[in-house]
Amino acid sequence: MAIQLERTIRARGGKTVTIYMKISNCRILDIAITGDFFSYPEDAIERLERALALCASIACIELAIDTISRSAHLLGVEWEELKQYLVDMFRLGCQ
Amino acid sequence: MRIRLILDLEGADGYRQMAIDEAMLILRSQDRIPDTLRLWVFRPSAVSIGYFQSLYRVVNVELAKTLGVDIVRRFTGGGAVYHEYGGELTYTVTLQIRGELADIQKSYEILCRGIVEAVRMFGLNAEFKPINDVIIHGKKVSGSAQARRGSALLQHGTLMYATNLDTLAKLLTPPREKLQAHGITDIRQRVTTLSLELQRRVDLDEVVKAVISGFKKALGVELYEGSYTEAELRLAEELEPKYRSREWIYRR
Repeated sequence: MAIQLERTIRARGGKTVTIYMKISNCRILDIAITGDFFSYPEDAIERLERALALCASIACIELAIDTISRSAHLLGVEWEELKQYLVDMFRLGCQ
Repeated sequence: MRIRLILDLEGADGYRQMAIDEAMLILRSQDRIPDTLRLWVFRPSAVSIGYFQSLYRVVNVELAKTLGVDIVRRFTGGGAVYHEYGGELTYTVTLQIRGELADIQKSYEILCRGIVEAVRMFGLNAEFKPINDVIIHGKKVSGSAQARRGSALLQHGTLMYATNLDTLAKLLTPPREKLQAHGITDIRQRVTTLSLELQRRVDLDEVVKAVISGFKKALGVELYEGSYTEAELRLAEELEPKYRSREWIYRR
């Protein structure tokens, strides 16, 4: 059975980020990262969402973020912060 | 340095305006248009939302429909903005990235200085507040957002001079976490207009003059008045259907 999680956080960088995650059997089925932050280039977030879809481990989440963050810059939220929130949600969804 | 000035104050709807902005960024990145400051208005009034925002989370969509307020998704990040026809001026600055503009956060500060200077011309103590706001006495009067393509950047932003803040507060529905972070319960407590601060009705004409002077001073440039090129108009026409499409507006 799939679990749907949603978390809104106020990032250290001053912007608001909402993460929606749908998980089944410790596998991400769907994910959306929304908010009033900035990403350069803009498509980095969509690339990240695609990379996270079907991730079934923390290592996969970390790899996705590390890969995308090499070629993209965020303003208002930091990559490490985003990684932590995603990992926390994944852990929660796997319990 | 000289920068082209485009005054588009008759206004057009937000879909058209967003298409013009994107066309300008693309063409500037191809070196086919000069550095430009464009001053314009949304007609009719609109709410613009950031590229990454989830529409239903941040806008009262039903009320917008009832009031005849367009909902436009920008190609830039940032938050939702209410652009009231007759109460707000929008600026767009499209530049080649050079010098300090290469640093994204710094570039917000440099370009927002145009608005800071404009507001100061009214005798008000405006300040830049990172990442992308201009405030007066702690309240936001202007927000900006920036996109980059290759060697070009585009920053657009609002300056509220007579916006009805009650309408704004009803249309925009920021997450509770955002309000809490600002120590407020209602968005109305965090925003202001030039008219409110000056206790008199400020009109568009004086705001336009101040913003032109503000950017001249902030950027140390001369402005010459120009108009859209054929290429800008043609590309904007091609891009416009995207901004009108449900697929784009409701994509998140």
